[in-house]
Amino acid sequence: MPYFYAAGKRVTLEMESSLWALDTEALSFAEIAESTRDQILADAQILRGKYVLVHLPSALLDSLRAAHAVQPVYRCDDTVLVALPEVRVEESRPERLQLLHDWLKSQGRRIEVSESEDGRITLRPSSGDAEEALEIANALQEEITPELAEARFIRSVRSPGLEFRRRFG
Amino acid sequence: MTTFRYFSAGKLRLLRVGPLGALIRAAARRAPPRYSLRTFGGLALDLDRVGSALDEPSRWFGALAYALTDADMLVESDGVSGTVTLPTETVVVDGATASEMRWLRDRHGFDVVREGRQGKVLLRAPRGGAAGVADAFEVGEKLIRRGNVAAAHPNFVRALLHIARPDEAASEQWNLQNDGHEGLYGADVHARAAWTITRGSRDVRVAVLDEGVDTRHPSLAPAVVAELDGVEGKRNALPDGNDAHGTACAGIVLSRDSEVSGLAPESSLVAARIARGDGAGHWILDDFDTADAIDWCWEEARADVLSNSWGGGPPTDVITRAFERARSKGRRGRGCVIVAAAGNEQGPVNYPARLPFVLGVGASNPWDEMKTRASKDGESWWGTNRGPGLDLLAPAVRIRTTDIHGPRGYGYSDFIADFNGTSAATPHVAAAAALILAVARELTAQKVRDIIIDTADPLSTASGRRSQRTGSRRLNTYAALRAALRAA
Repeated sequence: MPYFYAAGKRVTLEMESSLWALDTEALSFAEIAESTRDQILADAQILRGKYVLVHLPSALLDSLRAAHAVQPVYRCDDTVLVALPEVRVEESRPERLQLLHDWLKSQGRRIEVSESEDGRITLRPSSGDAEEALEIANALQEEITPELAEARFIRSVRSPGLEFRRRFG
Repeated sequence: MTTFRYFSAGKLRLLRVGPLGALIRAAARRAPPRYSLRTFGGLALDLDRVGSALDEPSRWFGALAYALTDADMLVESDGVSGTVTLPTETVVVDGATASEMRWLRDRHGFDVVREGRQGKVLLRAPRGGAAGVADAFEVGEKLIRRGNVAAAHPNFVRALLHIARPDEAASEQWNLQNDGHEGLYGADVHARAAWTITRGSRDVRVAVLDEGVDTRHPSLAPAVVAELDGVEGKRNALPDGNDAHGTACAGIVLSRDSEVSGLAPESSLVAARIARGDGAGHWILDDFDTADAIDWCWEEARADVLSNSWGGGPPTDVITRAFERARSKGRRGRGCVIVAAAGNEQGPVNYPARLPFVLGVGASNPWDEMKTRASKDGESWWGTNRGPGLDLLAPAVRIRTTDIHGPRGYGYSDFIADFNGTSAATPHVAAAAALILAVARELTAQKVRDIIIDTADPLSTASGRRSQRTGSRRLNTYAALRAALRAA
């Protein structure tokens, strides 16, 4: 069962079986027919940036995964969460920071690291795989416990505006 | 009911339509005599008259709906603004190439009815009646998905009621001063009394984190000191299409309109766009971008108060830590006051409102009740979230505030008469915090928070007893200001 940590506690996620987050830029590298590509995009729901939500038949998954064009979609209660292949880490304690750097070094080329001036570290799994980003964040939480280690999530929540609810229930 | 899909401003929209006759009967049942005007946002909703007008196709819109009969006349009405929308058998296409026009004619049999200015063309389906209406939706969607036109959607006929701002508008801001016209006398945030002390200060900045704010709205623009688009990286925080939620929230804090005033109208506005709607009743938020917007608010825009009329989903550390930084490092260490909406599902309090250092705000109504699906206001489709994390209540039913300037937004006016939900309650508390800081700049965020909670008015329970329970008391701005003056 996939999970992540919030405030030191495990939050369990449920993986959607047929719903995927599609990277529309990476889609062009997938070995699928143009008409299929058009059909996928025609049924897409808006998400964020280059990502859209799509229902995909399992037959298409392998070629889209090979092109790193899809990321898994999770559900937590009534919220849809999409993890991106990115982990943000924050640590201000020097000793922990050293541990963190040692841990990252031990991972070799599996993880790309960029560190900003304000001490925020962004990690990207070389595989481009969001599931691996979740694993990296969880491993850090369980082995190093930095102040922050979390995969980047896009969330789709019920609109706080009541106009839609008033109209459509 | 039938649901049609069409594209507008790049978003897939849903239009739920039903037979006009049934709608008229339902509206008559829903609107008892006393509420025939007021329940629907102060607008007269006379569907009988609308029906009569639509029922004369030959005179009214013969070219658009030449074969529609009474039986297949489908309309959409929100029952609130008074607008009735009738899809027709025609489709409007903007910016189509000659080859697209040929495709439309050869593949779908659509004929040109009229050519408008600037490349607009109106085309009619080959079939009449309900089938033609369905064809218009289908062809409009196909054209957009082919990607060769600037716009394509069915041509709607709208019956709009003339909206004149009623003279009694000012007194109808029951949230600021309830004269008992609706609800109970005094069931308000005591704004008039508070304004004898202060109407805010331009040195106090309130950040509204939302789906964008119309920072060009005449009643908001003079207050704007900083804006950020955390969604698309634009140079301003203007919302997408009809996304008017943030504009309504900002108006409750500081609208400078003389008739539709915010609670702290002299305050300054920081607008941060963190979400966008998906057109199907959801908001999409990127947690990292949201956290960065929070950090921007306290660090760069130097906001004193953060108003968050949003929430839901599991907590994430990246957002929680950004709020913690605002609370501990904002205002040069005195901390930003963070306010968030409890949510409208009548369930547990949403994240982030339930964070211990965030003021979680629930909803009250003009009768000084906690808003539930069964409370006296009659809005049975929502109730405030409650339980751990709820700190106090504030007015949240039929709140008069700003709408996007011009035709976009909730309606065609620059103001909306019936904004509601804990989204409306939250900016009241944010504004109260801004008023407190206007007279007691040195107070810490924790002290401001304590004052607001401690001075809130207990509400009557069903048995007539006054409830002292935390979370079931309503904001009293005047009492809070007096306490702040004593504490300063």
